[in-house]
Amino acid sequence: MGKKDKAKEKGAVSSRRDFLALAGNVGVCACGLAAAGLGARLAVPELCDGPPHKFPVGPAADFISGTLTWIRDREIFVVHDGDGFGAFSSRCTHLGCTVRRSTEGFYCPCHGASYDSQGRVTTGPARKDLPWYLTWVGSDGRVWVDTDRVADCGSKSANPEGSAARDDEES
Amino acid sequence: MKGFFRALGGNLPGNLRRGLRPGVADGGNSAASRLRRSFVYHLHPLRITRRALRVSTTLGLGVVSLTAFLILSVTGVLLMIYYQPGTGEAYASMQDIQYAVALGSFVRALHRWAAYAMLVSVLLHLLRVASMGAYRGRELNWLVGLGLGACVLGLAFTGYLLPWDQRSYWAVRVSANMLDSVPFLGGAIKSMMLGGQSVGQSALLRFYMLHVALLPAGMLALVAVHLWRIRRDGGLAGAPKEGEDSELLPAWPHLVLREALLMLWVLVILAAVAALVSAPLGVPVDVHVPANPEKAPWYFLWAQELVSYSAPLGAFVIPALLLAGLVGLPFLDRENVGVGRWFGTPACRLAVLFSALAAIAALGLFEVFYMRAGPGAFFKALGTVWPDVVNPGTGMIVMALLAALTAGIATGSTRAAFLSGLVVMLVMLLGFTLIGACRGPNWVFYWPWEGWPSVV
Amino acid sequence: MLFDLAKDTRRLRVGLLAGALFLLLVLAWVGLRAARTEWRGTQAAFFDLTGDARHATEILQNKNCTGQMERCTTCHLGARRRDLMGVQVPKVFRAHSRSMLGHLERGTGCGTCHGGTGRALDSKLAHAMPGGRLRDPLLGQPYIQASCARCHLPGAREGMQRLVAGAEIYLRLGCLICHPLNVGGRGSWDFGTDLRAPGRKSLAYLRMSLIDPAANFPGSTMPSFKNYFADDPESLTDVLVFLLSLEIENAGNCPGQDKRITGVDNPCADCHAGAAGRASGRFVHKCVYIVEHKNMLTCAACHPRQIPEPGPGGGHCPVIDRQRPNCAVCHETNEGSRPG
Repeated sequence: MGKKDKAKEKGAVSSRRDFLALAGNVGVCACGLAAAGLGARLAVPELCDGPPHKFPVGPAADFISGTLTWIRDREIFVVHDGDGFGAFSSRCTHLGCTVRRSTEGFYCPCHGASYDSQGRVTTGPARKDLPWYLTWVGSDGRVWVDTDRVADCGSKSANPEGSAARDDEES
Repeated sequence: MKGFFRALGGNLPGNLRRGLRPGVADGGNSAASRLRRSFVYHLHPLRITRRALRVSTTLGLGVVSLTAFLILSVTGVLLMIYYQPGTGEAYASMQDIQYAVALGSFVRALHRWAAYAMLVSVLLHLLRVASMGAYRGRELNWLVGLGLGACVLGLAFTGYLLPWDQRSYWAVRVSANMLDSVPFLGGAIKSMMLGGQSVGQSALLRFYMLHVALLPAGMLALVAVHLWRIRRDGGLAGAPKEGEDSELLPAWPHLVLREALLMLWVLVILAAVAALVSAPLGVPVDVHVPANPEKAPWYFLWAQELVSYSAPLGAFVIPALLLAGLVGLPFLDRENVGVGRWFGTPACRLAVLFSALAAIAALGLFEVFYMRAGPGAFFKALGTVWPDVVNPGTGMIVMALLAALTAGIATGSTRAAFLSGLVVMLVMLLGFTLIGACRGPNWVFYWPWEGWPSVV
Repeated sequence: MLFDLAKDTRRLRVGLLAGALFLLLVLAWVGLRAARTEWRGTQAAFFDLTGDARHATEILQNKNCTGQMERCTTCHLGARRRDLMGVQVPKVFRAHSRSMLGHLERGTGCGTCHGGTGRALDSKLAHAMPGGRLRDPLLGQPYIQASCARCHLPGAREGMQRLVAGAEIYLRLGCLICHPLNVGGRGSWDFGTDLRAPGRKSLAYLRMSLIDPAANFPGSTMPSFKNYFADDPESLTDVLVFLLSLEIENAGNCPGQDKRITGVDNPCADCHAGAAGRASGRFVHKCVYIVEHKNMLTCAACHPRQIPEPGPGGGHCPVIDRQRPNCAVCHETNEGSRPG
């Protein structure tokens, strides 16, 4: 074989070697990335471990007119007055602590945010009002709240049927 | 028989005596010599300068941090024997460790005090390296060190949830909600961290996994790289002064035994504190009602105070700026002057001092006006939008930038600029920590001598 | 100055030796303390006292009827010993009072009635509420009567006199107006706290709420009852017993508990579910006034006290006065038609 051929062969071998080395590195990196990606996907939660978002809070007759009731397990206030039933969140819109009642409305013990009696923010590090939720009295006579459907501040549904929403059994 | 024992190491006294003699390793074949050569000299050079032995050079903070980490690992493993990471069982298992398990309260106390010690020593270590400019030319190791710092904060945060008492739960619930202020990734990180939308069994398991497996593994790997890089980068930063400081001495036993001494005494002091002072266990969790006040652990009080002015500021803007500043530091400050000296040059020292004093004064002014008016009045005056922009937190950022600019222009040194800015942030964060510590029910500020009213 | 290698090494060795000695001291102290725990000493003392064959000291634990693990009997070894009744022994070994011994033998446990931190083995911590709330001690007489409400209706059994008295005062003073306790109105009117929220408030706080509510809650519209209780401090204690009982959740699985239809929240409706015009229950209220006001009043708002005989179903409600409804709770004079 001539010198030129030998050199060419050497050149071909080097480039093949280089190519294989590069391909190998890329392949290993790709595997690493894929593994990391799969691991991250595993960590993304599939199961929702919270309570349902649409739920009954109790028989309508239990909520005396003119009262504000705190539903502990759902962290919402249920209010019943002449216009019907309404519900709003008891979680401070700043960082989620449960608000307490005060003479003017509500205040949050965590950082001092305060709200008026309709849940509108008055002072404090909170910026947004306490969200109101769609509330109605179902055909079973219970008061239902849907925390996925935000309503206007102060909105209440008249007794008894208020909306077209169906009453699903709580899961 | 005698020959058997001799072969086994019956020459031990002789070997020990030879090995313990001062001086450079004798290149002998004794077990001690071989151990020294293969392990000790992997981590240490053969010879070190006298400067490296002085306490004032590094204050031994890296060794203290490492010791604390080792103590935490050992006590942590022991605690894993009894701790149960379930929402129904966690608090009860903590009570069992505290009350029923033999030496349980001691091991638990040692774990907690070592954790606090580690947080302090890691912060001081960062400050020491920064103020000496020892990151100069060692960008990788600086970043590895920042990674270690992040791991330590992560370990402190995840470990805090495990007792599942009132403070733990609400700390995590509020912190997770703080992630909502982080743009783009906040929601995803929150959902991955909690395993859902609320703090419950999934969150507890994930935090447990992070605390006992992933973060310690990360720490181990990063510590190994960190120590290797120190050797690779040539040991301590900065040249020793001419004269006795540059005298070369054998690392064994002078450096190595100094480190061993420091490790031992850190352990003694932490063990004594743990024996005398028990770690507190809080009130059982109520997932619907926080206590009043609900305070963060001391090392996050500054964050709680900042977040009480504005959530996006305290949760995202300030941590991001701090991180950006720290990460960028070795890339932006490329001065070689004064590396290895405390605060570099005298001009730099002066700039830092002035900045610190100015920060204290400014903090005093901010808080006097803010506190006199009361938290409600502050927000009432500024409406709902301006408090995000005008508050002591942004004041701190502005002051830090001003201090950095002024110092930089006055001294002509980027080191002085960065250190001045850093010291302003540090002083003010310390101030926020103290103010946060004084907050009482309803987040109202009470001086330490005023009692807190008893409210529900 | 030349660095003296030998001297430096010697100093380091001495330092290491000193450190090792100190560490050994600390560990020895900790080890000794762990070996000589309070409960071991107490158990040994008990075995000496009773002359029992020398038992090895061990932690004794059991689950009480609310499912909580407790270790009280590790030290309180005499609690169920009938033979120690009336015998002069140190307080920790005394047998439990005869009246409640039956509860103990039926497996009620200690913390169900006394509270405290059952899992603790240190007397100071065990006798406080969990979380080291040492201001909240173990419940004893009379406050322990609040715990009866965990399973029993007020007045249904012996031994609840102060609880019943407290309930009567609660109703007589009109507390129900702002703090109704029926099922649905879990809060109250716009301004009254839900007194059934769990999380035991300290007795000092509750007391202050009655004497000077504004001290606890600035701007509060709650009237002060200081003058009423100034003449009769015992009645203040009775009310406190009742208020403590409101927080206690119904246990649900004790064999001896009174049966409830609708739950602990509205004891009246257990028997009188038809009172407000509902479908089932013992009776529908005769008074048209009540039917009109059914959404605004609870039974006890008008019927504060009770003197009836035990009914055929067993048990009686001590807080209903069938003879003399108290309209003055809301109205200044007795007005309007009131049938029978």
